[in-house]
Amino acid sequence: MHTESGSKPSPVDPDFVRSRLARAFRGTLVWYGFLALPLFLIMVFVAYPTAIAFRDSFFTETPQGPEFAGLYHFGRLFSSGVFWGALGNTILLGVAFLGLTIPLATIFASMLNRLRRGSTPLKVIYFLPQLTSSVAVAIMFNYVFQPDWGLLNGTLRSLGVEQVPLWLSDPRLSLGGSRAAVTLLAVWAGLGYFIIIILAGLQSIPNDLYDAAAIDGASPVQAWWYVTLPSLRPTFVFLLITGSIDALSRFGDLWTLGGPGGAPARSLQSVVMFMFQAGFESNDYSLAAATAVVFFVIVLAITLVAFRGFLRSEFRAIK
Amino acid sequence: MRPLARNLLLLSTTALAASALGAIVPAAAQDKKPVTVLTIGYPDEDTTDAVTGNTTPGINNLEAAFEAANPTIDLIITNIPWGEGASGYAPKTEAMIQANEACIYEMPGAAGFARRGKLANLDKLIAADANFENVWGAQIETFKIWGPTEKALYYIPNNTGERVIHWDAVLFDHYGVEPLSKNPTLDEVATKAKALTGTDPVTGLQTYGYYYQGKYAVWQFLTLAHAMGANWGEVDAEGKMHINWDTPEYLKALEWFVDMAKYAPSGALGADGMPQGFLSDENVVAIIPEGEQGYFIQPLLANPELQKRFRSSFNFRGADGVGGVATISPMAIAESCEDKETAWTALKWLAGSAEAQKYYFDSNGRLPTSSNGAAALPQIASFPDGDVVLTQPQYAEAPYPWASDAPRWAMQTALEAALAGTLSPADALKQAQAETDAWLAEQAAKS
Amino acid sequence: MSSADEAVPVIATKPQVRMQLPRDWRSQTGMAIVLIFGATVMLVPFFWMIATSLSRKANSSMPRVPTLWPADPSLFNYWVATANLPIVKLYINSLFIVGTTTLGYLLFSSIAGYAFAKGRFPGKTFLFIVFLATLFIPFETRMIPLYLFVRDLHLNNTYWALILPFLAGGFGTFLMRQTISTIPDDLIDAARIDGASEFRIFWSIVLPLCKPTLATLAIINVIWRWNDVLWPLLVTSSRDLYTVTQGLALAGKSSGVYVGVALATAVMAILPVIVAYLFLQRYVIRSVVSSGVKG
Repeated sequence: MHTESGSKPSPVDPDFVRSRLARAFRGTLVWYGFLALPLFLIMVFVAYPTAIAFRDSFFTETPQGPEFAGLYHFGRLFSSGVFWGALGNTILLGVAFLGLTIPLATIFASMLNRLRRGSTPLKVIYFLPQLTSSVAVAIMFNYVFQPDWGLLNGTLRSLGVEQVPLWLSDPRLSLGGSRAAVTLLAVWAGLGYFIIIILAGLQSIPNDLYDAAAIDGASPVQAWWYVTLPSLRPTFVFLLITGSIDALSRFGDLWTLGGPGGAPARSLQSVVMFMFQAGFESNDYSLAAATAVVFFVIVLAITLVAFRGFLRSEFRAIK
Repeated sequence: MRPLARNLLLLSTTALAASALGAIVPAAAQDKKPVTVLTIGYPDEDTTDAVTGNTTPGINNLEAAFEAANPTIDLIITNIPWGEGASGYAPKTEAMIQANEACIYEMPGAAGFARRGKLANLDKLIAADANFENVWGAQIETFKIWGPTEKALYYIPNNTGERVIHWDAVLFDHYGVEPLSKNPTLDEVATKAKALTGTDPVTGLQTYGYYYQGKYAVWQFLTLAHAMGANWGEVDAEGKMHINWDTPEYLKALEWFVDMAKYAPSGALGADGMPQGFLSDENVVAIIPEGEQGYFIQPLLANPELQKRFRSSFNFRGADGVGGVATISPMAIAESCEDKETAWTALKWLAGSAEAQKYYFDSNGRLPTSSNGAAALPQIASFPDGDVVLTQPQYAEAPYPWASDAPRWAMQTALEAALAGTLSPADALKQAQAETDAWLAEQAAKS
Repeated sequence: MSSADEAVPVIATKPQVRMQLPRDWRSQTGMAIVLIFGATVMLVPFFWMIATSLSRKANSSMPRVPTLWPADPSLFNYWVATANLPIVKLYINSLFIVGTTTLGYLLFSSIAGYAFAKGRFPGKTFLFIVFLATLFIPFETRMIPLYLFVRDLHLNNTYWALILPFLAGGFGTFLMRQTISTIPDDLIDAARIDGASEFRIFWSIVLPLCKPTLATLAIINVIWRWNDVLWPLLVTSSRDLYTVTQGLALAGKSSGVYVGVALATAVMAILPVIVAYLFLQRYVIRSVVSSGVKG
């Protein structure tokens, strides 16, 4: 350090200025070099296809080439009952999933947090379905829900239930219908992730909050209600946002169980499946592109609203 | 960690480069003329049947037999699975046609591709072929479809499937119901299916009179409707499709179907195969109008005892004397194919030779379309219902040109709703019609 | 009595605790019962799947009352499944594809993350926003054009189609930038003064300090890529290129009626993953928690 500063050349030395400029230039170039390949990949495989999706939604493919169609395809999309059905389904399934999973996971995570022994193997077990690919889960649950000999109805029957539900063979909106079945599946598969995230949230709650509650004479259940739950607010907000986006893009399991049409009777069709059917079965790329754009706008809206409304204040509160 | 990471990186780059080379540099050139073929749904390699444990020959056997018979041609087969949606054969075929990836296509959607001018006119190839011998007989005329400007031969089926009506002779016997006739009417099936639903008087088990595969309900429904005089529509002289689902005949057929579904096992709407217990002593479904060759022929051959229990009758026929969904497998030549003559030689063998017919049967239980093929299968003729099994394909309806397009899904979805009771039969047909019309209008606007 | 208690409080209470049930044994037992019941619900479908996969009879008729042990245990279904699906080849494909995409993703994420964290160059903020913006583009939005694009490049049915689109991404870059930002500038400046090149600094100083984040990113990416089925189904149709998950999806479709074989295939596809998870569960769970990303 000392020798460095001692030998420092005078700032007016022209040689020094030149070399400094050269070094600065080289120094800048290095960073562009670092970014070149990742940026290229992102432009080619992310930005370009996204731009194409936007472009395609405003054009119609004809044998003579693309023809500008304005908002025609969006008009078709918004007047399609099938699209609204798929969107309604996606939202319904998402709300049912989050509405069941978050409370259930909160209760289980709170118990795991207080359990003195054996919480690690239990955590591992709850997380297990998360590691199983959605295809394998769907294959398994296709049989679990089989009305005549499936695991679930067999168990119900041996418990004395006479009128067993039809699950995946019943498109009705009921507790024993196809939507209930895929919700059970999703809760089974997703519970572990929610538990793990909530556990992390629980462990970050400072102990003095509980000490204060104990001094005020709160029972454990009261402490849970008045201290734990409010402190988990940022965790819940995070889970709600990521959970909503995941629920909106739901595809793999529904597609394996219900085919592209979301059988039976489109009761399992999601927005992404609608897009697939439009693109690959009806050869209607423009409609698929319009769906993709609408999907993008919805996801962006959720993210922005969430960021403006909750996340910023939440994250400021933590820090 | 650092050297390890570096080695791994090096390894992966090398592997990437190697795979890139593999993708770019084609296999060593051969002096044989190459013909590329897309086939659908054959076993890629020798496989084992899940019920009998017997070996099913893989597609390489067809390739080997072809090259033995045609030593100057190098047959290159791409075999893809069936399946629906993005992973299904339809988008794959579309992609391969667009990219000129094959010359010969096994092509369920041939009608659509012919209309778009993507297929070679085989009439012209036949006219130029001095050695042509028609082994398909007069039915070759019924294969003619509309191209962009004219009606012509655009494909020849290389094999065919069938749908017979199965019935379980043991259950009929337990209930004391008269055996099903060889050409059953809708009324006969309805009466007997109702009688055969209940508690088996001998075994005490719950039995069902009727069956349908919910995921493919559209095919059974179209057969029923055809037998009741319904007609889906036509492709007009300009190649435009007209489809009418919302007719009194279809309504009558759907009401019948919905009524009969009550006598089927409760999981039928979600089923994509035969009922559990089929072809075993535990079968509980008496009449199964879904007798697909792929499900029953091989097991019956492997276990002749079963031939007495699981019987077959002809499918429901309409006033025109035909009935049952056509499941021919059209084989076509792409218009973009560079060497159409060699492709034509290959197509003739793939669709007409006895060796090929035998392979389709051994691998998938598919039945011959050419007149020389039936002789290759004496084992079927010895079934108690051998004539039904062998001749049902000849009574099939003409193929539906929309069979792998949006109208199929519109009808399938509406049927599911009607069968589950969430839509009335009349509303279901209206829904199918509206969605089909919208699609047809969009197709018309595009061209 | 009382004085003795006060004199040796620690010694006296210790054995007492061991002899007696803890004060909250009721709530502990209650919670244990609930949690074990929940864990059983999680595990039963797996056991049922394994039991059914061991039953040859399951291919033609399933028992109406489910059992957790087959009446006729045999490996027949596994024999059929391995005869019909080249499971070893599928594993090699999956390992190769997951391995290369993960290595590439780590490299490109960290090198871009380094540039954004420590670099000084015009347009940095703009470029970072470009990277971040990709976080908000769902894969579903660009999937169909991407598929058509890959097809037009004739990359479908090659490993390239399964690797190239997943080498760089906003999420990894963002995560790496956050981590590298916490590395003190002094450390890097010191190396610069010693004459180390930027790449050398990145490789020998920055990367080793990011090991935990790299491990997290690697685990998350492995789970993503391993389970991805949509994209492989779209771009490859040759069995030589199938991944394990893709092979399972296709086998599940073709053997759907043969319950035993379908489940034997599923067991073979998920068992190695589950075994690996049991060994690495601490790291896997930690990665999921620290990144908040679902597997």
